[in-house]
Amino acid sequence: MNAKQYIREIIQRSCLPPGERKRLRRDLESDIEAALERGERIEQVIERMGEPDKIAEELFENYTNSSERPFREYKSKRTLFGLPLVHIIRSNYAAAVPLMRVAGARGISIGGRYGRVPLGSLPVATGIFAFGPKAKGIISIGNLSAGIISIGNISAGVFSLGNISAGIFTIGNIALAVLVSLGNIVAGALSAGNIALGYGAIGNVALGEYAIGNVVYGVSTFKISNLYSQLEAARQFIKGLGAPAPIRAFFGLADRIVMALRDPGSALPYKIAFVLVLIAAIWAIYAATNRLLRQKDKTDER
Amino acid sequence: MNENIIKQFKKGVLDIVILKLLSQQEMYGYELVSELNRRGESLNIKEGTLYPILYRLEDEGLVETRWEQAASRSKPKKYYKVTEKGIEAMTEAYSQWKAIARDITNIMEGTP
Repeated sequence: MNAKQYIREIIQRSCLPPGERKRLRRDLESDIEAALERGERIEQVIERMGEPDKIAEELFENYTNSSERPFREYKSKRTLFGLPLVHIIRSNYAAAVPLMRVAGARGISIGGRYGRVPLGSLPVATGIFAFGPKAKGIISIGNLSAGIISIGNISAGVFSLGNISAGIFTIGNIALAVLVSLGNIVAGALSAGNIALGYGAIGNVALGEYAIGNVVYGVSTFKISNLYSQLEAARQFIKGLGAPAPIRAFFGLADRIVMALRDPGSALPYKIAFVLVLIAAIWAIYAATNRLLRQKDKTDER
Repeated sequence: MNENIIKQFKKGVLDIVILKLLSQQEMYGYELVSELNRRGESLNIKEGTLYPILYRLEDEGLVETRWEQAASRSKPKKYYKVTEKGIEAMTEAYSQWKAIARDITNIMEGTP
């Protein structure tokens, strides 16, 4: 761990308000550099000052008069590619946070001189499987998430799913993708959505080199006013396109989706199965993370 | 001894000690930690305790800060020094502390 990583870790884990974090960062930078100038090695500085979690805990306690920081954590000892296999951060106030956001509250009061914990001040969960308000990893799930596969309110990754998502393959209310984006407002090489912008675009409003939709702008366009009566004509348009194979494949896939949705009854079993799988997956993730956190609590108590 | 009791002791007296050291010369955080640790094990302090105290003293106007950027450093160095208000607060707190220490000693040693 170098000085920069050490300071970042302390700051992240301190859960302090942004202004105090800035002040703390500058002091830590100043003092660690002074120690290094006096001939200490960074390992010695860390040994003297303490592990980041320990010093962050001490800082939080001295700021707020509360010895318990506002989160629970599980980090597995087993690592892969230098990352813990599983890292979970869970806010102690998770249930209250959405309500507080709606109410416009800037933080949770826990007493002490700087006794308000800002809503976004929790550390980042970093691991192969990362779960937390902020998560970063190979598979990450969180309010803010980044990873190879990331799921979250705001997510970024190779495959990302979220309210706002960005990446290579994305699904979201607002989705930006290098290759494929699906959602409400979407942009990508191949995009399908209410408002779609892309090289190949399908949507209520579609803008692209190849565009199919209710309102279309582009070079090769097909305007649909009634999807069901014009479906065959749209297929002929796609067949006759001199578009590259991925564009045709994408439009073909969209055709299949339209067919599946055309008769709501025929898709019903799939919809039910999808919802059940989704509920089971959410429950399984919640139960597994809860169990690990409880195990950790028990170990700490001993 | 219970760690919490020691913590509470320290919390009460560190402000005075820090103000005193800073009244002798301006110092940066690392110097303060080193100096306190050199002075005695009972005053042993870490940055996690020192910074919140310094920030509180600064916010209350008892200490002030100055940044110095040396050519050899990538980050400026932050110096703390005591203000007039800080000296007054320290003097008053020290007399209080002496009175408390005297009374506690009397009780503990059974002096009537």
